[in-house]
Amino acid sequence: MDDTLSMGKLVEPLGFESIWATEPYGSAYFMQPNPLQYLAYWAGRTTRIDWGRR
Amino acid sequence: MIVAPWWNPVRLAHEIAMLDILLKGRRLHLGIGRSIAPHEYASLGYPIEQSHKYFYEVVQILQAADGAERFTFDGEVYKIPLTTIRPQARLGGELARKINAAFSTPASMRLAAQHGLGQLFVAGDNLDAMTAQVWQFNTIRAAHGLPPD
Repeated sequence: MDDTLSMGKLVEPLGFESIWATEPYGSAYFMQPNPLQYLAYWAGRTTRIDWGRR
Repeated sequence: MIVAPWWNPVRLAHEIAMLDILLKGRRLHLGIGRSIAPHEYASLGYPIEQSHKYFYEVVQILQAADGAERFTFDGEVYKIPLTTIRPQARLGGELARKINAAFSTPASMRLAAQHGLGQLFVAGDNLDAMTAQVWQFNTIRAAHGLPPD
């Protein structure tokens, strides 16, 4: 999870347009259960990107 | 990517509106899936055999709530009396206008196309298979008077 959060900090400096999040429970597959909670965190830590742009 | 059947739809509509407000005009593109993992359904206590029904009731409720001053819903799973979402989203009316759906089964693909949802690509199929799937998807949309996605 620390690695994922570290990568998130690079999203805007590296020029990406969007962050995505999924919703898995009870396994080690991308361990965060609530995409809205997770994206709210990144909403406060970024200024330019949007969310889940296809 | 929200797994729709695992959310209470009124709570979900509120949380989406709140996230939209925190974004201050930046765009939240909603993606929705059903999940096919039995262990997750079992642990969370939702009936996987009714997951399509839960999925589309939640989608319809998000669409009814988005940008509405008040809404009601009368489904098989959810019966919602006159309800107001507060705080209201900044981009109310835009958030649920285009919901993209993730699917990995032909049945889910057909349902998503019939309901006017967009398509997300989560499968590891090869290019020919994915191309054929997109063609199928847009053929179903066309039959419902919808433009290609």
